[in-house]
Amino acid sequence: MTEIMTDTISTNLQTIISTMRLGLLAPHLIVSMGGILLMLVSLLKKAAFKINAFLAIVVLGIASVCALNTGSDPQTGFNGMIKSDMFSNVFIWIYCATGIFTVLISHKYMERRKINVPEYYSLLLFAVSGLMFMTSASDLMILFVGLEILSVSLFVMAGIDIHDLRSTEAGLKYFLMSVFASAFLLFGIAFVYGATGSTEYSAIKDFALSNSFGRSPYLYAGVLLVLGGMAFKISAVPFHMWTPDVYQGAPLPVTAFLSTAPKIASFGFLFKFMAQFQNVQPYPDLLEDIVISLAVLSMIVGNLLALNQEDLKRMLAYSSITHMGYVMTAFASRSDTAISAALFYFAAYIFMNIGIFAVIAVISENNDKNLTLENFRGMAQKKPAMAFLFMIFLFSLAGIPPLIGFAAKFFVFSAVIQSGLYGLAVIGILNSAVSAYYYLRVVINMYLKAPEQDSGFDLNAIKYGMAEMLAITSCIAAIIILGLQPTSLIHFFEKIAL
Amino acid sequence: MFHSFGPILMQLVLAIGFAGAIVALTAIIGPKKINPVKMDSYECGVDPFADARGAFHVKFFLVAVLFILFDVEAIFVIPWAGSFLAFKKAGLGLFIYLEMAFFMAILLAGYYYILKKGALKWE
Repeated sequence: MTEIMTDTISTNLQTIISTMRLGLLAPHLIVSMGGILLMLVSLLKKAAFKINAFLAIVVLGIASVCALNTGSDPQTGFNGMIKSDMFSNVFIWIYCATGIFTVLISHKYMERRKINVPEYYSLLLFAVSGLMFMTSASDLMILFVGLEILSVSLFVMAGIDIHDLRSTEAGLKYFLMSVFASAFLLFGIAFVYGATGSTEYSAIKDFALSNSFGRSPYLYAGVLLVLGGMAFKISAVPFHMWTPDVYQGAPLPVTAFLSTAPKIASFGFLFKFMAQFQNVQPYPDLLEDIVISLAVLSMIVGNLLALNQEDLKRMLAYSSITHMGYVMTAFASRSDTAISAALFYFAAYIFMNIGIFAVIAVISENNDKNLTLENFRGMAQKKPAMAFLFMIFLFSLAGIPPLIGFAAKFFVFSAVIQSGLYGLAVIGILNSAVSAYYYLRVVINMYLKAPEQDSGFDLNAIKYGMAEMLAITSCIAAIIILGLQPTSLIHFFEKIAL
Repeated sequence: MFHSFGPILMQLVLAIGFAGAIVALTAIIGPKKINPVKMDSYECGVDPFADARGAFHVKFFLVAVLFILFDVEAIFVIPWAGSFLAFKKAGLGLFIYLEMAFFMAILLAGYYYILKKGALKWE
């Protein structure tokens, strides 16, 4: 009897171990090992900050190349906990690109503000590995672990300027809010597990299909709580309260990272998770209504609050809420076209947002905590090149035609219309028009207003760093080239199926 | 689906009922003779001399956090030790050994880091 039992255990162990395909996790492992390496390099007293910046870029570069290795066919591993396919690969590239851009704009900024802690880059790599796990996961447990790796790194990064009260506040606020959201999420996962008996996406899918979603109140409650927890991370209204304070307080490069990668990862997870319920008949109305109302509220409230902001970082925080509202409309329309449109939007959003924060990092010599819209008066006279670059980013965010922001919005809204959600598309387009107001206000200040004499803000003091310029020029190039030629990229994304 | 929760409910009712009954019985039939010595702090206790909610030095928290970090490793090590023989029987002895070696290497890298950073120095 015991002989037979040990034999079954042995075969079970062997089957489980045989699913451990480390190749699927190559990018994740490289990045997290890189994080540990950078942590040890930080112990060197001299020049560790510089070495780490260089190493971080190398590690992220290698990781993004390794993502090519897994190929385009979907492959599962680790007993069904990891699913690697083209979808997760695209996200890995997005994270690596965001990470590299963040390193480029961090270096000079952090040194200037005397927060050149070498561990910063180590934390950045840990955050990126957490992001990768979030979208490669096909099990809610792995998702949660990835989310926590990400969040814990981000708390420290947001509060890394310990001599600045605002930064410390941002770190603490983000910590409290994030923990709150994680509790929501975990509660939801517990409900889903209670209803379906599994945390694996495919098992949850089988349960939802065979039991017609709506008849299981626990699955319903669980999915809604998971959605709520993720809405916190995406900062969709009404879960957005932490966003402006954290964006304003955190050091600029951290804000740039914070406003892009974690939100994209949360959306990536939502797309992957909710795709499991795609064929449930009938699709739960309440769920659909909630996603639509999140989208509408995010667009409208984000825009209305951005209109009156005098502080540039707060304005961009509210505008990022609006942008995530646009992506939420694609999420609400539940079609393959919408997924490819959303992927395109993410790519566009990264170039626009990182670019604009890079410009602000260059402009704000020392006093970025109170960078108001008035500070930009007459910038076109003093720094014509910088003002021009800044204008292109603002135009792209506003969605003005030849730039990538327009193409992204076009794809998203046409996907929404194709799914028959006309009202949602109309609200989105109207909001996009409203948002032009606050982006163009900055442009008007730069080009049409006379420079202020005694603003305590010297635009002439702006100095360009090589790394920052590299980030800005590549973002500008991407915005213009992909804005003129969006077809090849969108065709690439259209081939990606979930 | 509720029938599977039956035993849990029964245990809950029993636990609450038993605890409640004991407290109620003590209150009803227990003798109530109060004198100063009886109401004093017990032999092993000390009379409170200050508010416990004062500010602690941040070093306590640092040590506490590091302690938790390295204490949690037991969660991995104990199941590992418990299942080692089963793995060995399945011919995966080297694999499971290397898994733990790898885990320990990561843990030690962290330990080396905090040691070098002086996180454990009190002065």
